[in-house]
Amino acid sequence: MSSLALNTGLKALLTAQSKLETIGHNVSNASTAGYSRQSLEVGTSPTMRLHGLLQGTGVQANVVRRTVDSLLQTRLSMQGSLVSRIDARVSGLSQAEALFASGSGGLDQLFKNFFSSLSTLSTTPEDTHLRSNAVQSAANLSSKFNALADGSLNIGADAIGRIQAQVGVVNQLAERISRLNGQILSTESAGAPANDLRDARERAVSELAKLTDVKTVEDGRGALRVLVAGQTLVSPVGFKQLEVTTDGRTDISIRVEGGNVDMAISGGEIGGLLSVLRDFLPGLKSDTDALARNFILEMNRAHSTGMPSSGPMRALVGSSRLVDQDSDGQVTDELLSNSGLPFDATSGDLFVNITDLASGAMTKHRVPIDAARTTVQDFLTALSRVPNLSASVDGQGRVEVQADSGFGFDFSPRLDVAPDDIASFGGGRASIAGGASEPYALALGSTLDFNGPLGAFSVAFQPNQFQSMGQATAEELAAALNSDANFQSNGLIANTVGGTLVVQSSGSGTSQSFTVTGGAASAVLGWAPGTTVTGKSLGVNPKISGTYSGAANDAWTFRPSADGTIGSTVGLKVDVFDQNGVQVAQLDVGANYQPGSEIEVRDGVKVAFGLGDVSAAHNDLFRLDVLADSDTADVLPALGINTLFVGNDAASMEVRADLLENPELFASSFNGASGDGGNVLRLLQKSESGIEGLAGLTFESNLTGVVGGVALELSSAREAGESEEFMRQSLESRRDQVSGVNVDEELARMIEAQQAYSAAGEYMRVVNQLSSDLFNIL
Amino acid sequence: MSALKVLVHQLEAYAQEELDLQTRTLGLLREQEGALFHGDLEAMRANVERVDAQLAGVAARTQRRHELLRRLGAQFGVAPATLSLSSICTRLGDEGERLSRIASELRETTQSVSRATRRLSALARMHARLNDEILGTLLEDQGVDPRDMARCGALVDAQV
Repeated sequence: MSSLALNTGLKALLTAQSKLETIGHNVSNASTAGYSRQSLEVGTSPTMRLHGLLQGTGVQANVVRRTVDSLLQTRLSMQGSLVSRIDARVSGLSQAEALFASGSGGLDQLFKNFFSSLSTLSTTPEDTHLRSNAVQSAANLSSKFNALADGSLNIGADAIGRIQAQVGVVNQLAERISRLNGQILSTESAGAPANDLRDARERAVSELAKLTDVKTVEDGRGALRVLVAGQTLVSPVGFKQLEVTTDGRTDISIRVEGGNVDMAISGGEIGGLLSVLRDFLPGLKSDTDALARNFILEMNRAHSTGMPSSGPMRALVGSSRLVDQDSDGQVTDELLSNSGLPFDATSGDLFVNITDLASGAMTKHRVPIDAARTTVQDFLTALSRVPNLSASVDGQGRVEVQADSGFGFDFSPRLDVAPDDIASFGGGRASIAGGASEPYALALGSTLDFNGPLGAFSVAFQPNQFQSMGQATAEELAAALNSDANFQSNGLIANTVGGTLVVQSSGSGTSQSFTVTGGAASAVLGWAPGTTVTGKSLGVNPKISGTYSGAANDAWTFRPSADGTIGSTVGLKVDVFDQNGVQVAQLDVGANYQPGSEIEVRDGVKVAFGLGDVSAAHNDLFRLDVLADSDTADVLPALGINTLFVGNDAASMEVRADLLENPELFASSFNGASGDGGNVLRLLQKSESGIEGLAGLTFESNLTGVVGGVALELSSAREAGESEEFMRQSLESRRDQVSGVNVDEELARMIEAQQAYSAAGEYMRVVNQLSSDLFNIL
Repeated sequence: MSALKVLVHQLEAYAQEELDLQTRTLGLLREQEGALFHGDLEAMRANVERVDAQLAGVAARTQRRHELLRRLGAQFGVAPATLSLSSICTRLGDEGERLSRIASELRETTQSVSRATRRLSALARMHARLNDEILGTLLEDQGVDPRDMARCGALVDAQV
């Protein structure tokens, strides 16, 4: 009986000791993150059968429980993951915002500086200093775009570096959780709850959740399975490592060891960094590149079709290199539209102006480009076919264009001031034009019969002179005529004016004459047999002035309404037709017209006619190209010919090297006249124009949108971060209420116990003394 | 009735009263033991208060016992300090039979009380020492003497 009592007392003592140790453990871990308050559960010891009686054996500590709300804990981990993700995103966005900061040195300011420099230059375009200033402003803007591209890459590289580091931490945590799994299983299989180990594991999971999105599933034995982005990182029996593959700049792939599927991590710091890397930065790069690309293209479109203040150019080398796409050792066989150029060459026309530097006479030539058919060689050939111009590809795959000695060239959309090059409109030559334009339906054996200065002759057309005889072009017909010996010996020449055949005498004056006597082809051309044309002593010589302000390219054909004399014949008119044959103007050049005076045609174009005779019967005409864009194929920006910038995105953008060295090459002039700053104004107009490639926004609006987008995204992320952090703190507070340790409370509990034990002990001493006194009389 | 018989009746009443007190004390001690086992501080405090109330009449009963023994000593012609309940029963012979039965029960109960108090006393002291050690460990970093805290409001002398 006495040993049973001793045992009962010992159990009580041990139980009380456990309780005190639990309190002490709580206090010791009061500041341990993630620690869950523990409490001792006590119960009655099993009874013993002794001498046929059931004898109680006192008290025992059953289990030390963690005070924990597992749902709250899970929510807290998820919230931590969310907050970390947003924090990481805010970090990346903040760096981007700093890159795009407005003000001095900012992209917005450099845009303003550039356009401001153009504005200043436009007032004094011949000023060398202002020209240098404009070029330098362009260079500053390029440098800023380069810095933005580098900065974006650096943000990405920084994010990748941080992801790599944090993946290392994830791997450490996976190992730790796996080890704790083993320890918990080992401890709990022996019947004791592994409270501190579970706390440690929860802390590790919380740490993991701050880095990535985590899901956990605990099996019946207490082992935790940890899934990251849907893939098992830790299983009850082991763990796997995450592996990173990256180029260190823009791309990163995270996989589970031995896996072949990229992990779509969206949560935690890694998820936040990945979202910066994969969602935000590409979008920012795309926006920045789109701005740079469209700016380069628009500036180059304007610059390439202008000319330096010194006038037409003698030679130019493109800055873009053609690429041998089919690797056959040559680039000239590539389609121009698919030759590796930084901008697309599309179907359209390139107009080339050739200027006789001695006389100042300019001729305009159209080089058509068919994106589906025109090869580099076709283009070079077409350019080289322009009189006094040659084009080739240099050893570095760049197109070079050169004018013959004494000539210059440019690509300006300026008006041809003397468009009647062949004097087919009231010129001095004997001249007759087709009554209709091409195609001409010639038949086999068709002839055109003339009576020239040397007598009658007939030109017979052969099928091999035409691609399709029934669809003969004016060019083919003129070539066939010009190749005929009789035609030549009679001093006749054939020309074309906008697809219309013109037959003329080679000389001028009233002595020049020939007669169309017949032939099947004469009917096709609308010429009545017996029509005689005679040269004149005066040429009308139309002069064009003004600047075309129309929105689209067009080709106007001027035809007299009747036979008559400019400024003399009553009611004489000149009808103007667009390229579709629609009349767009009618000019009164009759008795009320003062020869030589300018008449407004339309869209800013004026014309002046000299005194002379014009003939509607002989189909007098001249053609005027009115151009809003002299390079509708964008072949000049694509080839980098006479551009302001090279490159096609923020990273590659630069001012053309030779232009930077020699700002005199800056194409400030529209027409080459001294003091003309027309092209500066065209460049300047781009600042206020809606840009098609930027959804119709101006550069400034687009930039504001890009910068504003970054700021808005950052602001939204910050707001979300604050909100989610508040939620996290709230959850943390609730967790502390449930699982946290209040040191004061625990100490007070201990002191209270101490006092109770002291009092109990003291009373026991008194009671014992009284018992001893009583024994004395027993 | 003789004076001795009156004194024996008074002694029997005293012994019965003491037996009842020891029995109640033993009950309280068992409850206290349960409170200590379970660390039930509230129950411990309540039991201490009830034991305290039990002890309230101790002084009067001791005085009464000394007086009875003085008068019985005079009757038997011996010094009161030499008298015990056993020796009185022997002197009384058959007339001391009831007193002898009460004394026997009182002895047994008092022995139980004594054992219980020794056990509980040891237990309470052990708890107190443990508490001291834990408090010392926890508070030494904070420059606080745990004994100061443990003494706050503690009962230091329950001597009657």
